[in-house]
Amino acid sequence: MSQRIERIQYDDAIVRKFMFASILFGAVGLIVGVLIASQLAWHQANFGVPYLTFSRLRPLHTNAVIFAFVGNMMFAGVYYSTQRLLKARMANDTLSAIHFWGWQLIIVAAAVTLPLGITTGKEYAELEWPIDIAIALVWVVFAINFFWTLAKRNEKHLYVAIWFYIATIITVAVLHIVNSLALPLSPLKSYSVFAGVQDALVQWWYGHNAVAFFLTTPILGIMYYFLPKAAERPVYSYRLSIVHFWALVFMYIWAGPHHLLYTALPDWAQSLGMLFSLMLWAPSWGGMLNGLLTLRGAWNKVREDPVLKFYVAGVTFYGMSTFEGPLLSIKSVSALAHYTDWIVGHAHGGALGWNGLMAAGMFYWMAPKMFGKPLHSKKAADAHFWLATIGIVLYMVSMWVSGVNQGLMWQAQNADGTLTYTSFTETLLAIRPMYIVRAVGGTMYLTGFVLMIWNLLKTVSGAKAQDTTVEVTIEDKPAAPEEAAGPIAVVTGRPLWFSTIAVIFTLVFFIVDSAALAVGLSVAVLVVGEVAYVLNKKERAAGKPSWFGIIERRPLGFTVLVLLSVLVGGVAELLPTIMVKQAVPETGHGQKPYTALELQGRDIYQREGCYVCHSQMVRPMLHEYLRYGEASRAEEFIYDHPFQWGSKRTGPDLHRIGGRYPNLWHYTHLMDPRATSPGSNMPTYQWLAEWTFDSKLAGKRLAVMQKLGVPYTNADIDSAEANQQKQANTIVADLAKNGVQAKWNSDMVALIAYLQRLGRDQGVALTDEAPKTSALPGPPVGGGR
Amino acid sequence: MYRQFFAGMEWTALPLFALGLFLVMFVLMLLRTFAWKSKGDFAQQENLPLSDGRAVSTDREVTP
Repeated sequence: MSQRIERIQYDDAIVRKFMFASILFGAVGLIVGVLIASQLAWHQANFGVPYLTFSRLRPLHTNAVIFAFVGNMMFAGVYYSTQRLLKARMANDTLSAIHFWGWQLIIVAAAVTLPLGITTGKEYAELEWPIDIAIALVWVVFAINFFWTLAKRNEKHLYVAIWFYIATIITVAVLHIVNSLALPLSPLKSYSVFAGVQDALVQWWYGHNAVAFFLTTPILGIMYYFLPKAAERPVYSYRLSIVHFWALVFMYIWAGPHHLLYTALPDWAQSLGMLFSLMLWAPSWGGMLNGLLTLRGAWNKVREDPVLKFYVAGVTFYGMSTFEGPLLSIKSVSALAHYTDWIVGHAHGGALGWNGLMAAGMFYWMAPKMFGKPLHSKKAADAHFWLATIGIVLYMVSMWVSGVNQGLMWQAQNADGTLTYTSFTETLLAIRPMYIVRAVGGTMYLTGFVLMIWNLLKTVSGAKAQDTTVEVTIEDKPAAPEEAAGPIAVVTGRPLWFSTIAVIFTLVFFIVDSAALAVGLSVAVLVVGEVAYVLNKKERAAGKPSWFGIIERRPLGFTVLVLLSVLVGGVAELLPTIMVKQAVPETGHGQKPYTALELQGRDIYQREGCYVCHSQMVRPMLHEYLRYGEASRAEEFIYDHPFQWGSKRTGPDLHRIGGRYPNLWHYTHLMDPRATSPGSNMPTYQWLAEWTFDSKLAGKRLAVMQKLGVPYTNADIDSAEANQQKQANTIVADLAKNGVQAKWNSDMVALIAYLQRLGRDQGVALTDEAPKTSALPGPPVGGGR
Repeated sequence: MYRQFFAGMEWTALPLFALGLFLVMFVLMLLRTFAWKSKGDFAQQENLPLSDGRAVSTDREVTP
């Protein structure tokens, strides 16, 4: 065995770039967050400017925080820790640079397009198709650089943080590509290839796992590296971190449907989502406790060291969020909490508490190291900590109070069965004080963040950035049994045998119809388990490599296993819903596709971000029936590319709005929401009366929808433009009767056409037989908005 | 035999059955992690963040 010393200079320049980008975009995301929080409390803060409207800025806020702030922070942490854990410089500086500048260009593109209303209309995946392609390409560059570095590493072991990074890279790629599948109408507009229920399931499979694999797993990797580093002691239980990793990777992917409880999603998928969410409790808390217990015997340092202070609070918020998430996934809790501010509070507990505080701890750790200068002010860091913590608590508590209040007021019924609060705005007025408290909490958090920026700038000012150079000892010894074992040893390893035997037993169970065999199988499973245990024990005693020891050192095999763990949940949940022949309505009638004008109006609905505040999904609950009308059914959405179910009701549900009010009401409401709904906090949308749409796109839009499977005939496409104007003229004439002059091709007319269509489709006959029944009863008298 | 397995079982029992299985696995995992902890199994791996190279001077002293 020989040893050699190798000198390695890490690429810390890329870490610094990502760190500063994260801080910059973090500030932008928070400023926009405080602005939109204020807009909900004071509608005047929308300023009547389209590009500053809540519904357009909210996607900008979420994208800035998730992909710009946390994304850049994650990359900084990954580049910093990966090089040190692998004892190797990143494989290629050019790829690192392409990754950095490509990602920043994507963020700038998002910052420009989202306020302009260029959006897919899918939450957390709003960016349009050219940007989606850019994201995929930049992600591939990142992946190549990362896996190339793994290949040329000087450390045989792959530390648990690296596993979390591997899971992040491959899962985000899968999620992004599947959920972004769309057919373009123009360079800046596309339609999801999925529709209705299928689109909803794919979207929340993506949405939930964006939380899991973009906001959680990479930050857990960062926790497993930086927390032991700051505490100067190894992680409490490495074995627990292994369990934490595999359990999270396997379970998280199944939990997406908990965002769709009580919707038109099939019940089995809802229950599966709830069950896996509940099970997530265990590994999440295992990870949290592993983090906190790492500080055993070092709690005195937490008092002194701002870095540890932020980490401890961050990990604690991780524990709180991962307790609250499964709680909210229980169907009976979801019945109260879904669509309310409780969900907003939960999301911000994770984003501000877990992501934000972990980011701050990491920045306070890295900046002094990379500039060779101590932190400028510990007192300022302490002040940041308390401002942030109190800010988050104010935010979360106000949203809990507001959310529970909303849920209870929406449900409240009088003794005679009517709704207690018939007007939706009664709820809004009741929770307004909480919106003000939320804005105060957000402002405190922003103030703390600004303090951090000042502190870090003072720290690095006058200091010269430096790349760390280290000397590492590399052992050129004969390969250990684990290293010598080739891929064959991985494939023929006992865990794979036993897994195969288990799968065969399960198949036999479902095929053979014999009680005696069932007992036999159960005994056989126990015997196989016992044999596995004994064999493993003997082999370890003989010094043979463990199967995990083999796989842990083989990035490719490890990556394949992670991919399989992730895919099994995705495939099991998505395929049955996607393969089902959805276009068979329970009424026996097919659904009538949208008219050209209604489709145009639908585009405007998405552009203005109406889905941000309004759901289109009436749940099967008595109070929802009383307020909105009949529960929504899966077949009503089969031509919705994309679905617009929404996830929050700052305003009322709109699925049964069609035909409930005259055109004039909609016109008046959009021009001045408080004229029709006193107490509303909705922005005005006066520009809709002025702006006109491109009527020539009507045929092309129908043609794209035809390609997606919507049954438009070629004649429909040819006459789309004329039909569009014809339908618009009827609305214009109706408005004119009431003294309102509107242009036929105004955005206002198209949007009214779409709103009037919602939820009142009576279907067209699949055969020559005429439709027999109306799909919808009229809304009950006394229902309120 | 799946017929016998499902016969008489209400659908609500299935998630509870799965949850029960999960809890059993969870407890076994806890025992394996904490009670039968064999020191040294992962000694090298768990110390990786603390042994990521000896810093040498570049253009000024650094202490990673």
